[in-house]
Amino acid sequence: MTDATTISPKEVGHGEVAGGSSIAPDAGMSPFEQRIIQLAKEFPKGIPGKILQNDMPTTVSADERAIVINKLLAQGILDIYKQGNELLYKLKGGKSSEPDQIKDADNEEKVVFDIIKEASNMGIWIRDIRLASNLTLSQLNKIVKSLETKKLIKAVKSVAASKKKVYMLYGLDPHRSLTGGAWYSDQDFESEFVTILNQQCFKYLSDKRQQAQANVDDVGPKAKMAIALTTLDDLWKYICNLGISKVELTPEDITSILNTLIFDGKVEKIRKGDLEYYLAAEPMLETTGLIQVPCGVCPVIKDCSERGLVNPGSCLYMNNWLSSEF
Amino acid sequence: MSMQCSKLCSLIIGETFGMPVQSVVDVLLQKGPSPLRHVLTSMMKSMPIEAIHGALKTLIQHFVVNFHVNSTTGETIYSVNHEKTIEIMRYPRYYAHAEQMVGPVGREVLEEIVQSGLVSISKLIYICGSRVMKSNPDVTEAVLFEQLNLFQTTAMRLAAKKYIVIVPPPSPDNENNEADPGAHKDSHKLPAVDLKVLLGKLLKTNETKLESLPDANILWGIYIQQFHAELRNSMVYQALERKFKSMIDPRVIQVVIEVGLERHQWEDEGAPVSMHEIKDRIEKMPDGLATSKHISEHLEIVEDDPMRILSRLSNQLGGHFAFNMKTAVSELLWNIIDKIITEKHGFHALRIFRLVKASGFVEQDTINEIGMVPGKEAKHLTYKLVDDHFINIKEVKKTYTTNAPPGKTCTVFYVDSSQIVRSLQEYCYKAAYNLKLKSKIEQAKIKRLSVKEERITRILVNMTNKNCAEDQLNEIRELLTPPERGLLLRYQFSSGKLLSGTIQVDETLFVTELYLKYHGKNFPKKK
Repeated sequence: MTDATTISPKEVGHGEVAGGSSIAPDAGMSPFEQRIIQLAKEFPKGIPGKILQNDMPTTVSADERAIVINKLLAQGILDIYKQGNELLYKLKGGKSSEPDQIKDADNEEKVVFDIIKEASNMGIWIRDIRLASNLTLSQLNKIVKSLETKKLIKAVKSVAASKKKVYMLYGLDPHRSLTGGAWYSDQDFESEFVTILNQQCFKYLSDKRQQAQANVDDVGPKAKMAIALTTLDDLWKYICNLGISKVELTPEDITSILNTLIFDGKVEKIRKGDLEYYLAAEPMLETTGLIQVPCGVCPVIKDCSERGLVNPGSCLYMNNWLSSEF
Repeated sequence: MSMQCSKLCSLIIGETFGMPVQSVVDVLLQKGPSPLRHVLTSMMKSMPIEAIHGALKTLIQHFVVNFHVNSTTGETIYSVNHEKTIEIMRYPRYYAHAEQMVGPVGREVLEEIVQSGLVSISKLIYICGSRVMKSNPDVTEAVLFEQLNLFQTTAMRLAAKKYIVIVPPPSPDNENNEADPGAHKDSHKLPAVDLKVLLGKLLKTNETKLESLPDANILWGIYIQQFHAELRNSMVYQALERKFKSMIDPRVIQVVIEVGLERHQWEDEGAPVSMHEIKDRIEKMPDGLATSKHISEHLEIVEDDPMRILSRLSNQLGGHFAFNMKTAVSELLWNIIDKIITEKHGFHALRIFRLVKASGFVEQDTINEIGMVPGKEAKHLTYKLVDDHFINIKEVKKTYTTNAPPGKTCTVFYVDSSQIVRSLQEYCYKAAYNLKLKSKIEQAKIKRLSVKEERITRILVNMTNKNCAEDQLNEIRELLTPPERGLLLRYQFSSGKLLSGTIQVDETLFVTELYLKYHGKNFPKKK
């Protein structure tokens, strides 16, 4: 099987099954070819080489068998995989799922295309393609470039590592972990968008609290609290209805925003049984004593000493503070 | 104790007791606990021995210097009590609190006690009476007696509110000095004082011997712990009032604090208070009926709060609730730290700090992702927080091998609460020191002018007493030129601002001390 071994077999993933085949033995095919296709259908997970060998009449030599298999591989009917030390032959997916350009591509391109296809929308790094395909880097670069030109695959930059490119099929939308979800646009963190959402969420919660505080009816604190408390669902609907986002936001996105508000100390999460509510928090302190004096917020306090260049006697911050409001 | 704290202590002593006493304290601060001969050797050339003895006596009387006998050498060792020294900075707050609770005479009496360090009640009333006589030499006997009576009643009120206490005289026994003087049941019981005898002594102006009075050996001092407890309660109450603004009646929390911590003020958690008791007390307050109608709802809201400061201990009789003061103080401190971080580094830094605090150990990537702060800014702010000791940094090996290469380690950030508190205390010491030093510098700048103003004022008083003409008075007044008046006015404004600044810094320092006391060592627990 000299020809077959020129193409590096792919590793078979666990639980992998062949896609629904629409390949039917062709009338123009030799009986050997027809038998192989039939066997491939019987073994959807792949026909091991030994079974193929035993199934064939003894008159069929190894060379003849290799020619038939190589022909089927070249036609794109069969695919070759490697499981341990054993070779597996598997029927390829339906012809309709393959783009037209790949049909005319050479074997290396097809292998690389399949590796990238398997990675789906998570994408695959060039180094991993090289390891899986056993191709040299220069060869692989050419193939990848050719596939990109044919618009069969595309390169996507990951937000986690901006210099690391991953490849995926052209028509796929990259996974959230690659794009960063709603908060990234072309690998750039949309800081302003996050700030606006942050402000809008807080405004909504804050308005609800003020509404509750303004309620002077003798309804009791529990009823007041009920006005002020907000569920994630309510907030999500409110933000979606505002129409400030071009991308569709999920409740998880709003949870992320609410978490930032919790870390800002502006919102608190209140649990009542299994339910979670959000409430605009009032700070315990308006200010604190230390920051009311210039030394409390001084950027050079570490360099300040009695005799040094920075000293309380000639301190500009201190002098400005003392002369203010005079 | 840190260098910064020692410098502040020295400045406070100088401000309160004068330069000679400060120089004695400086020796003790520099040398650490030392026997008298060390102090004498260092000071002999600059001060007479009697003055050194006098300074030490004053410091001991105000509990600023402790002494104990070394068991091996038999020498008496003197050391500076930093905590007590720093507390001197807090006296204006104690006075203001006493004035609020007992009235202006209460403040006056308390000031006298503080100035004396330790004093018997008879002597205290005598000192207050002599001050009345000094300010008004024509005071009649009846009015003076009335005044003495007022001072006695005020002292009784101060004792009843536990602001003053019978204090055993300083002794070389450390345990005795550290014991809570208020623990004894009669420690706030005022002795009987014969006001007529005191009046007689006051009228005989040369009669200053008070040792013969029956209570001469019962010495009273300020009971700091009571002030601390009340200031703590007031701070916590104000903070919670702000937090639950308009949602609940904060008086509910006040009642739980007051009743729960009435007997054992320094317990982490107050005694359980029944809902009925809270309701009864609220009903007696103005507009309390409306609150008492929904009392369970008020309590439920505080109970559900994520701070967990109120816990329901049982459901009997509508429920028993206990207030956790330790948690409340911690929350107060974290809020202070939050404010400082926001003011110094902005709200993104606060977000990062709170995120690290909530997460325990966290990597930079996680901070960027959960904090939703742009990568570069997050990194910059994280390192600023590390630089200011708000967060700590630690390298963790990814593998279990002994010599992990640099690529196999990751950097995690975490919050060490005790380190933050200590570092915050250092900031406070430095800020207070700088403010006091600035005040001293400003005072030195204006010294010549102050002396001139004092002299002119004295002359004016004399001339007014002699009924001089207005023209003559104006002539004297004009000796102080308008620019000089402007300078004096500016100095008065500056010194006032510096003093209030020191009090504000002390507010923060007080919370850090409370936090360390709740989370640390030697705090008076119930006996």
